[in-house]
Amino acid sequence: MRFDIDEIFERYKDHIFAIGFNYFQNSIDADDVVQEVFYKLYKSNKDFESEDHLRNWLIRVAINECKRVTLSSWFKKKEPLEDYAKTLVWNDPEESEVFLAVMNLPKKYRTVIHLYYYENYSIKEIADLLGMSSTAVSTQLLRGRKKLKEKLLEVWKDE
Amino acid sequence: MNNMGLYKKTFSRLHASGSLDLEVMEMKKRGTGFRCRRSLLVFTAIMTVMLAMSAIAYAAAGDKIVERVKVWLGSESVDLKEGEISQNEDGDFVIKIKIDDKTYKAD
Repeated sequence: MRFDIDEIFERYKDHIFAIGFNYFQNSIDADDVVQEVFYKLYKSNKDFESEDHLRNWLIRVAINECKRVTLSSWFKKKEPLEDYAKTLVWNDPEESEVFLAVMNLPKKYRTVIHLYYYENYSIKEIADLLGMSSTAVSTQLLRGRKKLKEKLLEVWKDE
Repeated sequence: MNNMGLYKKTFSRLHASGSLDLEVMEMKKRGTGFRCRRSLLVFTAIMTVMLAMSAIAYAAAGDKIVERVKVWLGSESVDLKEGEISQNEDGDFVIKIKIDDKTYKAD
């Protein structure tokens, strides 16, 4: 199944950006991840079984790209998180609290939390994407939730 | 609202840069990534031959340098015959390669 790259770009660029931002905590590196992922999609000429297959591919490539850039000594672009947070328009003060609380989690918890709550992946799917065991993912999810609860109190409901 | 709803609402505020739209378009215009121009390939081949020739000349006995050198351009091979390798008055080797009715010279 072939997809129009423009349409796919519009539909998923912000998803990929959010993964990159979750990883690097700055918009510059996150934009680079978006560009690289869609460039790879364009170059790959891959045939996908379904849109879900394509989405999973994009996210997997994004995560791998984040890991690759992290290992590279050239990456150190930094834009203070607080500066970026000020550029965002929140409808609700809870949203900004959640944003800062998530961004202050350790990276390993942030990634799992994001894939679970934003991308709606199951624990098994997250484990496949990250190359981890389901047990490890469950543990990180549990610990991430606990830290969010400590920070956000009533804003973050018990699960 | 449950945690998932709150999380999604929060992170839906994050947006990729607007300039990325243009870069995707540029990507499409350029085609699939970087294409190595044929002239660059030829130049690289010439430089490779120059290095190879230096090594061969160093190992050669007397005035006889090489009689036959094969050069690979991508997947094509080109035989450099004796007449295409010459030595100028300064002692530098000059290589002329003729491909597709064009003559490339390196010295």
